[in-house]
Amino acid sequence: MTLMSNYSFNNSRLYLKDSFRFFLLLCALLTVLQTANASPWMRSSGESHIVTMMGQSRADEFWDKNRRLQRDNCESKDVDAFIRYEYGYSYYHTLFTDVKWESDQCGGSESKGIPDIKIGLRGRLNPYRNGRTWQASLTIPIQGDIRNRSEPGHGQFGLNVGMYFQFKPDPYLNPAELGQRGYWSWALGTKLFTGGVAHKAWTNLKWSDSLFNTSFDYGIKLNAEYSFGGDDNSDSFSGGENKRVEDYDVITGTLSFSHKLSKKVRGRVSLSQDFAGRNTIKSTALKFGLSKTWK
Amino acid sequence: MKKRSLITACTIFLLLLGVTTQVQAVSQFKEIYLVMDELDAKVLFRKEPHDKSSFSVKVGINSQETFLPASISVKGSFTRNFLKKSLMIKFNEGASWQGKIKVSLNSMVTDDSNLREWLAWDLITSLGMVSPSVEHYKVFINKEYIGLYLFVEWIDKTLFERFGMGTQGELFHPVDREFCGDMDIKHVDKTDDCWLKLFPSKLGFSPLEQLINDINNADVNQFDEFLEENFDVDSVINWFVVNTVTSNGDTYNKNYFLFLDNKTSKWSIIPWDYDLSFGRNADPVYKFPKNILNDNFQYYYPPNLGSPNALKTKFFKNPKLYALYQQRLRRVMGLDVAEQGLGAYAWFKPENFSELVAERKENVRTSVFNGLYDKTSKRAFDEHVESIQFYSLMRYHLLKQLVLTPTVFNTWHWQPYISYPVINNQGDGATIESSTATIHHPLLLSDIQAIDGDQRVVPIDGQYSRPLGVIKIVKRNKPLRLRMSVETEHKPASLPPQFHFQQCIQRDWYIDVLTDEAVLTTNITLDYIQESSIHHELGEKVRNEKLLQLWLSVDGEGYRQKLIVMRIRCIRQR
Repeated sequence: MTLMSNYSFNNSRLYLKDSFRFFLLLCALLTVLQTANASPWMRSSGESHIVTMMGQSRADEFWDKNRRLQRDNCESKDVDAFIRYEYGYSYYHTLFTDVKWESDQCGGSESKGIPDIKIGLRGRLNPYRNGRTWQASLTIPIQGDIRNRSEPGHGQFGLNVGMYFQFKPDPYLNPAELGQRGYWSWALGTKLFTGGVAHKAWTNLKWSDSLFNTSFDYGIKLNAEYSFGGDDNSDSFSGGENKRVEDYDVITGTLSFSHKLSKKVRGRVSLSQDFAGRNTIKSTALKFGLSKTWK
Repeated sequence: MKKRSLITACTIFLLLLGVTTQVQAVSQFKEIYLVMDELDAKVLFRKEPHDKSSFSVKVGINSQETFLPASISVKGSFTRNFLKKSLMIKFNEGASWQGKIKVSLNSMVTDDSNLREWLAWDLITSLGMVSPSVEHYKVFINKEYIGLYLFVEWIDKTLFERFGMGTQGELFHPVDREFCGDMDIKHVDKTDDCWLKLFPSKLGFSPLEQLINDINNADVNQFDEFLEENFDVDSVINWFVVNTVTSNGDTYNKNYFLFLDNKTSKWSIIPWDYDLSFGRNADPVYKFPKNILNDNFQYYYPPNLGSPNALKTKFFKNPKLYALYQQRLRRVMGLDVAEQGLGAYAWFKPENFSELVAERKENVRTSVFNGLYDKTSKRAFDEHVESIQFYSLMRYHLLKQLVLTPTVFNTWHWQPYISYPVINNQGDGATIESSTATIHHPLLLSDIQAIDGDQRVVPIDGQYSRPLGVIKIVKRNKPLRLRMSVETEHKPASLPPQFHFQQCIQRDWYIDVLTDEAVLTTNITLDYIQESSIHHELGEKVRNEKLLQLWLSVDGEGYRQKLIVMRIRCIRQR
């Protein structure tokens, strides 16, 4: 962490040349992945899965309380890093943990650190099918005061619960469909926070398919997130150092690609764009990373 | 007076030959009893195909009194997509069965005969190859009968120790889903993707990479010396012979083991996976699982059937090695008396093979119809067993001529008369870009000298080694000469008046009795091609082969329908 605290995204090429090992460390530390992006996939018992994503998001506009797009006087360049480890504790339960590191810049100010970690449990809604799961995770704040660009729930303990459905055909009724056709998936959930701040609800719809061959996948996702409850819903967002205020909603589209690099490793790229919102910044994010599955 | 008969089959055929071997003995297979959580027991078979989870289980083998603690999981590749899963049992630490910590049970779900793998392993064992013990077992879970399985001994150090090869060797296996274990030089840089190092895990892939480099650099003309220096040559010869006899092409880039004996520094080949054998092949048009469940079969695949493989290519091109291969094939076919007494002698001789199949069939029959998942129907079972019998008879005669008495047209790689259409497998499903296979020769011709004492004759085309059918002599007044000729894969030369040619098999059979005053009573088995949906001789309007009728025209006179005991033996797409 000491090394990375002096890291600047603009001179990363120099570090990348040094060693692949350093690159992996970079992936682990410089990535972000929203909770709503969590995979619904159950791991086989004894199977491990690790995802690292890194990327940058930018925003120089925001939506006010009347959903009008405004120029933000504080152009933000946030660098995020994310690492998730999943383990198939049994056929019926998968354990996972997330660690995220962020470096948020807005105007001349900058903050960086690990805001929180998550630990969670995933289970099956249907004992025979995968991709139809429930998930619960606990957000534990680590360095809750590091950011000057806060959002609701920041620095609080949180409970995230959700359900995920992949609408794939029954593998025994239509085995020919497996791996051949694209499929829809739908998820919904909520994040509940302590401290009297607003909670969040989210839902997303995603289309996934293969492109060219089964090694190359793409996904198009539309995610909606809005806040509810909280002590103070009267704020009107005017940009600046915060990303949003307690009373907000946002719709985000994401285009993602993944490609099988070897038996166990896939490369991943995603591009996200906020399309509509209220009391929130309009952000564009590009992320890339690797995932590995092994047993 | 010489007679010429023209036979046309319109909306049938086929076969008249029956297997009449009677077997009285019925033996019980050994049994495996599994006890596990009820939900786990259902989930094990119904869960998503590629889930690799394991579940706790207690295992009693041939006993319901002593149970060993273990875990059970699904094994295999495409058979995962069926409900009747192949299973892997791994005993907990400290437990074992006959020194083994793993028990592998093959579901045989794609083989309604439940015999193909067992037969292949029987040949492999008879040849004396280093190979696992194989036996049919009945599997019960929580006292419920799941089905008949094939126990295949797990290939680990104890197996090699049993064959006197010690425990210090290195074992490699191609990764099933990568299809690149073909020893080709272009894959040498990704051996860790293409191969699994099963043991010892600490040592890497360098011996295998060295071997692949050496094979690819070796001179074909000195390849026999290379093989002698680096391989257990018998294991290589036997591998090719087994694959030739069983028409197994589902190997060469996967489905085999390579073992390096560190005491002798020589490699051995251990064959693997013979479910898609004895003439079966995938249908390239259909999607899974219909492609794999192609019940049609063919017996004229060439010895080099299957994916390219650097070892295979150089082996068959080397004259000395090819001669050794032919010699081993003669042994298995019982054609070389000098080899009598050696392993697998006459194993594939039709009488012996037929007896072996018939005996095992009666045993298997008692156990295949009442399984819990993917039940086998009695009709499917009988048809598959019969197709194996028919395959062996035709394959035997094909190999006898194609490999052992070759003509200018007959070589190990000869597959001259078919150009398969281009298949587009992208998108929603396969489509055929050109409508039919291109056939390069329409006429097959065979002369038969029916000598006294012959009861069954398989006419063979002299140029292309293609069997044309089976003539079973019931009665004759004198030795006689027959000629059978077949015009293949074309519109029938003439037709009974009420038929359209698309209602008929696209083939004519001509039988000429060339001996004056001969009177012959015979059962005739006629054959037509139905290998897959892109290669067959069915007219477009033939919807149900079992309704085909056989029509006969003698000396150019009008057609008569000949309903000679028509036993329908065609099997088709499920």
